[in-house]
Amino acid sequence: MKKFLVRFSIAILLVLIVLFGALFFIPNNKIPDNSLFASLDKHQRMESLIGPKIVLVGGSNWPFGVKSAMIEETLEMPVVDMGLHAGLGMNYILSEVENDIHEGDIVIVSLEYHHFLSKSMYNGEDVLVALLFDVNKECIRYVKLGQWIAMIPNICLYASKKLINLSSAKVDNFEDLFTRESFNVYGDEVAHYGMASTVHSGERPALREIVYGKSIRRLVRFCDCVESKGAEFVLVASPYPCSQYVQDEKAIKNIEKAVSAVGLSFMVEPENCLFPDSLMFNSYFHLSGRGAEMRTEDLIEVLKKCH
Amino acid sequence: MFYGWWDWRFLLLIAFTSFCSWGSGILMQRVENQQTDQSLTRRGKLLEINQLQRQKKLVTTTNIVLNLMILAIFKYYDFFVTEFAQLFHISTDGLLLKVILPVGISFYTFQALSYSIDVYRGKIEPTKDIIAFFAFISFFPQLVAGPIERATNLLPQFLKKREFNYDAAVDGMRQILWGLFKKIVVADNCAVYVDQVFSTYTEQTGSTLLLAAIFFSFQIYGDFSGYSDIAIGTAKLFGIKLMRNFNVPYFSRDIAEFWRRWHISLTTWFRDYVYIPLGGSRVSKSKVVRNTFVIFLLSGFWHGANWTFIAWGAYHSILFLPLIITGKNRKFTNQVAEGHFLPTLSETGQILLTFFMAMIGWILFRAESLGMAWEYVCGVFNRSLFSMPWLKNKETYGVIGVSLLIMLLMEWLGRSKQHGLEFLVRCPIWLRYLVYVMFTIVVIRFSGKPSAFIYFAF
Repeated sequence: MKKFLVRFSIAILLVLIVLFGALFFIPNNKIPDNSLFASLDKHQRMESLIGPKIVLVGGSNWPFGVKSAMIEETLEMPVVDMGLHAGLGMNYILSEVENDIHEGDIVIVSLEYHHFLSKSMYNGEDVLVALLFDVNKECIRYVKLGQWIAMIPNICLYASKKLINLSSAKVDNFEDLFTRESFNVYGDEVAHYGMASTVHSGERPALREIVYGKSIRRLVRFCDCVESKGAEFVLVASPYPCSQYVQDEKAIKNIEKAVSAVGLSFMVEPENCLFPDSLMFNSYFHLSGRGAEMRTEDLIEVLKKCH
Repeated sequence: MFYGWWDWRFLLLIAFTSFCSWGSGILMQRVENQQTDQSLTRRGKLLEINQLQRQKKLVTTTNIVLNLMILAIFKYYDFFVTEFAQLFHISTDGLLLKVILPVGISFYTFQALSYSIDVYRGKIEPTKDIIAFFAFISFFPQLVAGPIERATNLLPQFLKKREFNYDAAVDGMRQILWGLFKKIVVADNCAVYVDQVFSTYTEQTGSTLLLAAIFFSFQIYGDFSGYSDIAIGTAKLFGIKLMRNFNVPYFSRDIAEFWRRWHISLTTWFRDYVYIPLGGSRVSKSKVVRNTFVIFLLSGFWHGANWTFIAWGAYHSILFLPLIITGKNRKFTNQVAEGHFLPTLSETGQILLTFFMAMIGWILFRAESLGMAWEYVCGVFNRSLFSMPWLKNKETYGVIGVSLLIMLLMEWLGRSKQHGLEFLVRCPIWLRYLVYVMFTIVVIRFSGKPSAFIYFAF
């Protein structure tokens, strides 16, 4: 048995050496200019802002669903849109902003519904691995041991994709339609303004209806962290198409219930963040330019009422 | 734990099946142990033995009926109700059970039945050890998709003390790796193309349909034999030796040989418990033909409650008939190209023809209805058969092509061995580790979007 375990461990070790070699030493030529690099600009803006600011935290529903300039002009506070990709996972999305929140900030969180429903969306998908190893290695500090362990399969998969790189296959699943330059100074995605909607109702499977408990606890911890720094925590729903809401209403209601059970609430409720398909862009959380404008107007109204 | 993880309620079902079969063994033993009255005359004693034999038969029959009833309710009830309702134009409202098919029910039911029948036949002593018996029925590697084990092989292994065997464990790991390669790299990549073509078959050219049918033949082989390899390999780690389930079936030279090499545990189950009791091949030709039809139709029906499976079984029995009638069904019992590196031209032709026949059968198996299967086959054989098939993208072809080549090459070279990586035993250590690392990385590379095992649905 001992001999078997030793030899088995050697084989596993060899596999890990090759995979980690690929992870660190093989460059990812597929993403030199992709939108993950916008993360660097977003962090730079976040760190450069002095004094109270509005921080938008979430997945791609922010860059594809808000016009930060309108908020900044109306509320006279600088805005940084930290949203990038839901696949980075809820845990990472919240962790990466915690250090840069200061007294007087308003932190508006809008997470995609999947973040509350699945373990993989909580811990992050291969996009997060791409970001950590090929875009911004400094972000590694935001990932804790437990999350590293949960990410092992994704890390191995990503490394093996770098090793056996098929020419037309993407190394990560981030759409290459958008580049770092597609984002404006606030961190909003602007390249898609004016493009036609590609969302069609009934294309996606229904959301699973059981809330992932860890995600709610993480949200509470984040809220506590924000408030302990003298900043304000605001939770709002992400945009969703009316046609899809009919199918996913139960799952979304379950999220609302789970959130309110821990004493939090959506300042913009899911029912008030529904948009017709014509205002959606290429995904159920992405709005067109007009849609983003409408959402921003609603958001400003809510923020005005709060203050 | 393993079975209950999916849905604990089905544990009750498997426990009931196990308990009934174990109990039937105990009851049969009690009947067997009843002392014949010494004061009886010889004729009296014979009558009493007959009486005991009848009691044993009653116990076995009751157990078989109970088990088959459970299987029938879960697997076939809705199918029959729907078919009858359609035939007599009755509404099915409130008649259908709409229950989920418990994973592996067909496999463990057959395993439980084999025990009961073997005890009745006196091939195996009934066990009093309920733990060992429940382990025999629910041994996790092969519980959900076989191989369907016989009590004569598996049960005694649970009754004796097992010791760790280094060589068996290493070979088990190799077999698991080979199984993962066949499932994740070969089958799952073929599935992407196959699913797309089968869902849009009316719009595809003959060449595309043919290519998808070929890919499905390899998908189902990679999927099912891959699972079997993983199961057998895992069992080896526990010191358990399971029966072989696949023996390079696509190198068969006729359809009879194909069935001796494909899903061996099910084929031999039907042979031992249905075909031979019906008289096997030691009866008149007409009865042999009947028996052949019976086992193939049952085999088709075992796969699922759909006419396509029954038609698949009937199709294979028709292919089998000429061999049965001419008495050539055991013409090829040796390994193809034995002692040679390459097959002869005639053997190559036989292999390709057998593959082609099996592939047509797989269209029936994969189709959702008989109408679809017919349209699909008609779609293959038209002028567009000679056009360029639809290319999803170069990578898909590249991956499928290379992985198929590796699988076929390694299975050809190792056709007299238990699995594709067994040849490594005699290789230098550096080469062994190189192969392990390469295969593991390839498996990880293609593990992103796994699809469920096809035979989990049976």
